[in-house]
Amino acid sequence: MTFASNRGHQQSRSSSDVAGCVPLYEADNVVLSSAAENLRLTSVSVSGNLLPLLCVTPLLGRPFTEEESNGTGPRAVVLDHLT
Amino acid sequence: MLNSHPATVVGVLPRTLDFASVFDPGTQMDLFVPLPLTKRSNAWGNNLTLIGRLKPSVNLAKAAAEMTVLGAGNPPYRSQKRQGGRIGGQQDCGVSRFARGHGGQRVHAPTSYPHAILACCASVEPLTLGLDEIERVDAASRLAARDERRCGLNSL
Repeated sequence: MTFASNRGHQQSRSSSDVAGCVPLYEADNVVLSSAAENLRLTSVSVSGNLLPLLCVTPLLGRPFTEEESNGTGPRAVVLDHLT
Repeated sequence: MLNSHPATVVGVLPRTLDFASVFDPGTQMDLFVPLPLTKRSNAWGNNLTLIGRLKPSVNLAKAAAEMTVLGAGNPPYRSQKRQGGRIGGQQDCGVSRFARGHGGQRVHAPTSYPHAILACCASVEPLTLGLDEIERVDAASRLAARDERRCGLNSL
């Protein structure tokens, strides 16, 4: 399993090796807008290694890339399944 | 657009991950965005919560005791407590309800100095990622937290 680290380089590890990551999170209110409507939602800022630590794979799409995780890539969002 | 900035939805989480009910009961988490581990994010203090995985053979009580000692010893926590400000969560620890379904026990704790705490916490697996950020934490603060941890653990 390959996932993004926060050290600026890609690392390949099995899911059993992810213990010891430093997943952090913080909640905030955001506005998600489209051409049709504006939605006020609760966002959670999470370190890129949170999902690997929890052994969670997105139902659709992918987790954050390394660039997205360290803030150098395009702004990315992962939705909760209820959103 | 997310807060008027372009953003791309890259994924949707599975129903099995009920993040809000486990880590922030009573709230709803609609979407997830990346939080870079930087010196700046480390300074956000009380708003950050860290999650770690317990080392093998370490039970939750031991980790909770250790985290409590570490939390009581870190400088930002104490300074805000003196000022009467609301602490962003007590230094409690808990095992997530979905832990069994996702591979082992985890410990999570709201903290005012997350990087230093994890760097000093012996009951959580050694850090393998984010070490460069931890190295940026003020050395004196880390040493102080470590010394206080030793004193606190000796008294347990």
